[in-house]
Amino acid sequence: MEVKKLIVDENSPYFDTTGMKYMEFPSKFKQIRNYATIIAFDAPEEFKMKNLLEQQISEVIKNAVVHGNKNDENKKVKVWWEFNRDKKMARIIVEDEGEGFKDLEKWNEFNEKRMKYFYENNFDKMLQYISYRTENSTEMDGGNSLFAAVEFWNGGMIYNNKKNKVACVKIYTDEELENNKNIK
Amino acid sequence: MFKPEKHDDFLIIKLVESKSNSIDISNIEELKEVLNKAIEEGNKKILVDFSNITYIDSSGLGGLMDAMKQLKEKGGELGILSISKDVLEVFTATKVAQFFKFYKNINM
Repeated sequence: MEVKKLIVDENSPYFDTTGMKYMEFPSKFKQIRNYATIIAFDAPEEFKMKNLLEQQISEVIKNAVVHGNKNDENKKVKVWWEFNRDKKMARIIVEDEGEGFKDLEKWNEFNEKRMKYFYENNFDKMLQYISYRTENSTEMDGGNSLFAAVEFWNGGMIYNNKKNKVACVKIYTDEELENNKNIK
Repeated sequence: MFKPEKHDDFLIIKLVESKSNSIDISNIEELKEVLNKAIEEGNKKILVDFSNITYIDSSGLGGLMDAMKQLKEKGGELGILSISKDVLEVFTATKVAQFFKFYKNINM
């Protein structure tokens, strides 16, 4: 059973921003999807997976705006990104001005249990682990966006020590790239 | 749905009867069809009305770029009408703003 985890590694090479594009945005909730458009517009067609890439970029930025910066428009979200055809890799680094994702370890434990019951087909137990909520959760996030994110960013979701900066890495398989060439 | 309407020299295409306020993967094919038809019919000045658009995704931007190229080849011009500052930021940050003419209203 493989369960994906959020990783903390301040020295990860995935934090190296050399050659990456960069923008910073005010924490405007209504603009989050438009910010994701700006970033995903650079991606080659075969990386887009219809609009899945864009959605996942949007989720990472949303976490920074809502949970990190608490929707404070005076606080910025910094984003670096690259789409590398040779490495078949999409990489985005998002940093907010918040206090950091304090519950990261709790989230990993929660997800581990959730996946354990999933693999055991124990759906009664799994129902208790459907939605991750903390005192910081809002009605709008449902606590679930990270479950999908940690699967999508299959090269890892790596946090700095303060946990207010995350590098998300997606490595594409040849099959994915071939399939995506034919869809728009 | 996207509804085309003639105003003097311009053909204005506007999203109506929609709750989404978006030009994105869910409706870009429909907009492209309306734009293609308008171009085939010989319209040279086409405006897409953004007055009720709050979000555009990358397929929406791509679709507008395709139509802009087609129209330019025929000596026409694709304009954007009444865009909000927030959505305009998407055009400028992706460096495609230079390919479109932006109108506050059809007189300017």
